Amino acid sequence: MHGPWADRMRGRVTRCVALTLAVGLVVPHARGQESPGEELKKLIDGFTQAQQAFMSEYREAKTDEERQKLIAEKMPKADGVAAQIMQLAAKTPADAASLDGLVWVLQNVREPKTTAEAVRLVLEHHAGSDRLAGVCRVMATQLAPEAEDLMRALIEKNPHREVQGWACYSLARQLKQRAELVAFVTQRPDMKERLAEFYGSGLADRIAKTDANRLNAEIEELLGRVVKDYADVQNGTLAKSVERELFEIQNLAIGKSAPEIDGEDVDGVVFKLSEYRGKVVVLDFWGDW
Amino acid sequence: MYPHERSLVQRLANKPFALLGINSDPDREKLKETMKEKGITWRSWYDQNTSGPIATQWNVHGWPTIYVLDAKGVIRYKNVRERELDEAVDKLLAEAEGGE
Repeated sequence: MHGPWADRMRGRVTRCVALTLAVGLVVPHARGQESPGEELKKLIDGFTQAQQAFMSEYREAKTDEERQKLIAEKMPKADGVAAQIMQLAAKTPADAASLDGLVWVLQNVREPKTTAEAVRLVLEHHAGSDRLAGVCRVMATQLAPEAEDLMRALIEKNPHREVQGWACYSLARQLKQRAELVAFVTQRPDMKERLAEFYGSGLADRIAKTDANRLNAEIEELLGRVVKDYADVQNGTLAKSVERELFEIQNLAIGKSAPEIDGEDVDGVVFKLSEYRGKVVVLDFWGDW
Repeated sequence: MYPHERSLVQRLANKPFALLGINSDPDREKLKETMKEKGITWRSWYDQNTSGPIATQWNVHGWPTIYVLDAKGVIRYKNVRERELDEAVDKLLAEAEGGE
């Protein structure tokens, strides 16, 4: 297994070197001649290509060992690119190209300091932009206090309904994750310190100050607001996402009867969750990836 | 996850307990191979991909996501892992066996 793989890798490295030389010869522009906007675009495109190349190699890998090695050695790291993007964006923060860079950073980086700086620049220079709906959607899974602050500011200051609606939805999702963490530390007070280490003291502080009932009320209020005021956003895409959240609150909370599951097993045989009534059941949503 | 799940299933083989999966791998044939290879003996619904109908209804955004149901089908725990999962299951089994 090891031999052919190493050969393939060497082949790839050789091709990469050749490609770099060719590009170097064909494109004589020095880096300094490009505008910050062009440089930003190059950085983002370069990362996207590197990621696609990595993914196709990863899919070709045959063993876990190969996959682990690929992840360790060849997975493109967003953090390095992000530092360069942030430097460029800080030079001309009000430019449209800088907004592209900041959007990319917010969607791809989860390092609290970088996120905080990107949020600050977006709010200072682009708080009214119509291009922030995607950022809001992606940041639904973020827990950083800065992510929450960005959503609250956009709900208040951004004039575009699409942005406002997605900001409401994402804020609700962020708060829901916080509610889960609050429930977790209530059960396991011994984990408080680990939590601060893992998520940073900013979030740990907010968790400590959270009133769980008020938080849940705010989540439902936000989702309700989307249903009432933003149901038409993106032809109902937003409303669909909100329906899922409301279904979870109303039917999948602790203490609720589990909804029926009725479908095929891996071999195509149909079976139902209700067949297991009388047994303690662990439901495991899984995938081998 | 697999080793822990395997030991849970083995340990509770004679108890009123079931581990049920909802699988989101896009390649069904490859999944069958993986299950054989890794000794995944418990049953799974095949949900096609991460946007499959079951994961969508259950609003699953991250994998693995765990729900623990008591013998009456009531959701009692979410996303417990390892030792906490063992404790949760043992507690519910004791409840079920203790009768009404």
